[in-house]
Amino acid sequence: MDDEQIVAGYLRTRDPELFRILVERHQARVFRLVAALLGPFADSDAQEVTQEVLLRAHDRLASFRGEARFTSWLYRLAYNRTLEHRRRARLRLPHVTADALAERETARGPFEEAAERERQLRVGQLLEGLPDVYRSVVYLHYWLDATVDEIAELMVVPAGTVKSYLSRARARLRARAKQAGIEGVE
Amino acid sequence: MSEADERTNDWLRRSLAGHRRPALAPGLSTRVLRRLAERERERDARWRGWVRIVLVAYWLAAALGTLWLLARLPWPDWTSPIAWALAVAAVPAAFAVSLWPERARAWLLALLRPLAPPLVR
Repeated sequence: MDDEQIVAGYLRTRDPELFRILVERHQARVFRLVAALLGPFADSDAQEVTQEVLLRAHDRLASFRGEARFTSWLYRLAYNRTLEHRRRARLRLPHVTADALAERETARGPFEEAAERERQLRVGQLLEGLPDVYRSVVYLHYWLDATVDEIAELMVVPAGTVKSYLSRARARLRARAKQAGIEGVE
Repeated sequence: MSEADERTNDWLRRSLAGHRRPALAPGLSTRVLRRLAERERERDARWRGWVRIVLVAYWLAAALGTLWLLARLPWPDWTSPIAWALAVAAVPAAFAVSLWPERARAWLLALLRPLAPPLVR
């Protein structure tokens, strides 16, 4: 049974098991998109936001007319909802995992550690300063290792557009890194 | 890809490598369905609350209207007590039963207890 048939069936019968099928089929992709949109510096839980997205999708299911693919409709909704959430949530910069910190603290002295924190902060500001669409494709590609085709599906754009976004994002990062005096970007 | 792009690629990968990649925890669909069911229950409870308010308002309006009519109509002597009893006891009781069935049953049992001990005890 395809997604569109399941949606129609769910709207007719309100059988929760049908909605469960939809959730289980798409949760992993929605989660990746949400995680990339929130980014590694966001003070939000991607699991929680994914749940919110799926609940919102449930509430708006009746507005799905079947003109586009269900996945396009769902990913678009996830994109908009997550960006809404992101605008409300505060950023915490820099975010470094506890393991990475422990490793650094043993390998470096306090001055090096402070310098590394400062560098992370500037890197975070640089990446977070990108427009939403560029930042999302950068996180998907370089942080979550998503392929261009996967990004194209999640962002509901052609693969060529994704390549163009990545190229423009890199160019912007180089320009901004130069202004900010961050080395190693170009 | 240009050399500058290659370097930016490397820089991006290095910069983001230290950040934990989020993993989808198992049981997400179950949690989503549970939250849906909770929301449905909350919505039903809210709806029942509003229905109750409307019914109470209707009950009060009907009771006041009935009392007003009863006080003004020229009843024969023997029908007046019956009409009053219906107005102040039977009709409100019927409304109360529909609004608060459990409480009405408890009240009824409490009232009947002294009258028919073996039946209700």
